[in-house]
Amino acid sequence: MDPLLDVRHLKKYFPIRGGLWQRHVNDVHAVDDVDLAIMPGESFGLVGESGSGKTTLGKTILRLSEPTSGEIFFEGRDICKATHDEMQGYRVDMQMVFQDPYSSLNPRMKVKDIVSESLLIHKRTKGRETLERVRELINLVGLMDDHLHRFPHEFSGGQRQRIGIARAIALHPRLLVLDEPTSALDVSVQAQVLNLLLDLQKKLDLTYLFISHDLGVIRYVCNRVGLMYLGRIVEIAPVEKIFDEPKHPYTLALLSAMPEADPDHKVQEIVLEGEIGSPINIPRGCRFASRCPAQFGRCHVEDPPLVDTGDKHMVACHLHPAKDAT
Amino acid sequence: MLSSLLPSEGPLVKIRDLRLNFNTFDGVSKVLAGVNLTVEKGDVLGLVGETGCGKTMTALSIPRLIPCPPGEIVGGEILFEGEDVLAKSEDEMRELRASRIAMIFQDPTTNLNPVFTIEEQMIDAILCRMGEQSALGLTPFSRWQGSVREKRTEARHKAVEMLKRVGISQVEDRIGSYPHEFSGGMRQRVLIAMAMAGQPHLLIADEPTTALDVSIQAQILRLVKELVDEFHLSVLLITHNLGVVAKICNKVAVMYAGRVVETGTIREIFKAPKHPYTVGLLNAIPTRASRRGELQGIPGSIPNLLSPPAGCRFHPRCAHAMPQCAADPAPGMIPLTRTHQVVCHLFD
Repeated sequence: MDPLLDVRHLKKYFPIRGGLWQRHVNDVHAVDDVDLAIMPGESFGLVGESGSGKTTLGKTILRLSEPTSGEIFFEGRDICKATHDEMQGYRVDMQMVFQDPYSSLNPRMKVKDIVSESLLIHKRTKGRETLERVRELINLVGLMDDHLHRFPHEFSGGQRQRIGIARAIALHPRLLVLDEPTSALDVSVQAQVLNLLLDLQKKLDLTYLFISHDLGVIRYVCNRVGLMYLGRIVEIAPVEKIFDEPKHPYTLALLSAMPEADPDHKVQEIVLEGEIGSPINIPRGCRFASRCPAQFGRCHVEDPPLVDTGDKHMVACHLHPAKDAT
Repeated sequence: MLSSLLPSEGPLVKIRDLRLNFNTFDGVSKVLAGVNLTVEKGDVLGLVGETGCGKTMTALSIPRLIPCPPGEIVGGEILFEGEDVLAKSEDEMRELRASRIAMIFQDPTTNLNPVFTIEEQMIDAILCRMGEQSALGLTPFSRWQGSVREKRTEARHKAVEMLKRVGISQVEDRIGSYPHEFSGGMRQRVLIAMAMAGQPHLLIADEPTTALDVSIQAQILRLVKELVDEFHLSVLLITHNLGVVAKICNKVAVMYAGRVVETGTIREIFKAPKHPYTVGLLNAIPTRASRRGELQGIPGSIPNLLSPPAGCRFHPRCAHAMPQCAADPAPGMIPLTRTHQVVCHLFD
């Protein structure tokens, strides 16, 4: 099966300007050479700490921010080369749900206008039909008909996120990029929204790119997980593999630091020293080496590539060589 | 003064039937409706609940930091080491906040002054906690007076020592930095150092790790745990993250809409939760055991406190609601074991 989304050597640098003439002095390496393939119907989870480039990667994939270099194939066609008009066509198939349901809805638009906006822009429906479709969408995400004529401020966080989801699925997209869709919500509401997302995926045959820093949520929703560190993906594996046999030292540390709501859950805790490095002056060698408990000489010299260590388990670490090499 | 030196009997903090209203333009919001809470010496008590349930307001009422007006404490009592906090004068409160109660907040960025260096802020905090207000250098040129300079140098030594203790490296080089030069985790460490400078008896930590990444969160939690052992500290930890509670607390109090609905040891709450809300909350967290699609949220959302439901405030969302749940008065605290108490008609 061909992947729905195939990202190759994607880079996104933000220039830093300085000096007298505002010359280009350096770059923030937000996304630095990422390879990623997402199969149709899959939920791919992207995990990492703040500043690791998860959100930038999500936005760059939708070309909401222009990639610096690399290729993004959506259903086999390179969307990086698409013109503005062609991109409009692709956008129908790829939509985004944002993190903060308080700032991502226009406070001066009614719910029906928010949800129908994309239908009208892409001329999918006309007149009475539009309202009918909006009503259908609103019911699908668990809101009532009488909510249609209200403004966003009249809703709670969970309900607002449902509106955001209704807006995103209005055009029947194939791919949905969910950027921390539940991190602004309370746990009891988070569970409702996560279940809604699982439900919609089944009903509408959606593919998710699910960005989160909450490993518990990722484990619940995703089939496959990628871990990001300083603009790089360091490990990709099916969800059971990540949680049961993690390989990259960063994954191990992150999992051990994850607080489980169970007093009996005791793990050998690996507390990482220091903090995520600066994406401006990327050190030579492995980006994680300075914090890694297992680092050795080679890590500071050579940047490990992301290689397949067998069973679809990709790791970028010198401790885990590629399968065919061993 | 003597009472603070002698090991006094009884709990460190005892809150009995605390009622707090906020007078707003839309009416009276009954933010706390009879909170009962006890913090014993040496406890690390986790106060959990969802947004708007009154966790922070409960904690802020102990050092009396609720803005009044619009807030108004309309009933109940707060005893801190046996002393009635609500009856104290403002000067006595200032002394209490400086010496025996310390607080750290959720957002370390907004709680440090961006225009002063860490050094100046640390020194001021330490001088306040030592009761040396005169050494703050508030009057013109007083900073150049010999006695003031001496005290500030002494406070600086203490600041360096505290910053080292909370795990900041190269303190001498970094103490002169401004808050923006520190990362979130480092700023939280600075705030912890300030809070610990007065050797408080109670540390109130209001969502101390919510703004931090998991790996930094783990570092901060480890630090708090070490400080608890080292300084015989009691902690009131406010959080919505039950994972954090399971990691460092020994007791838990669960709040819902302005009331404590269940308290117990960590084992009692996590292994044998009794209140339907606690059960719902625990079921809503994705854990190792939860299967896809089986996570249960709690239907509905939290009530508007301007017109809260009568009786038990959870009954409109409760699967076990009975007729008497909707009737006043609200159920009282029912002791199940010596440590485990629940507020629910199911256990009458």
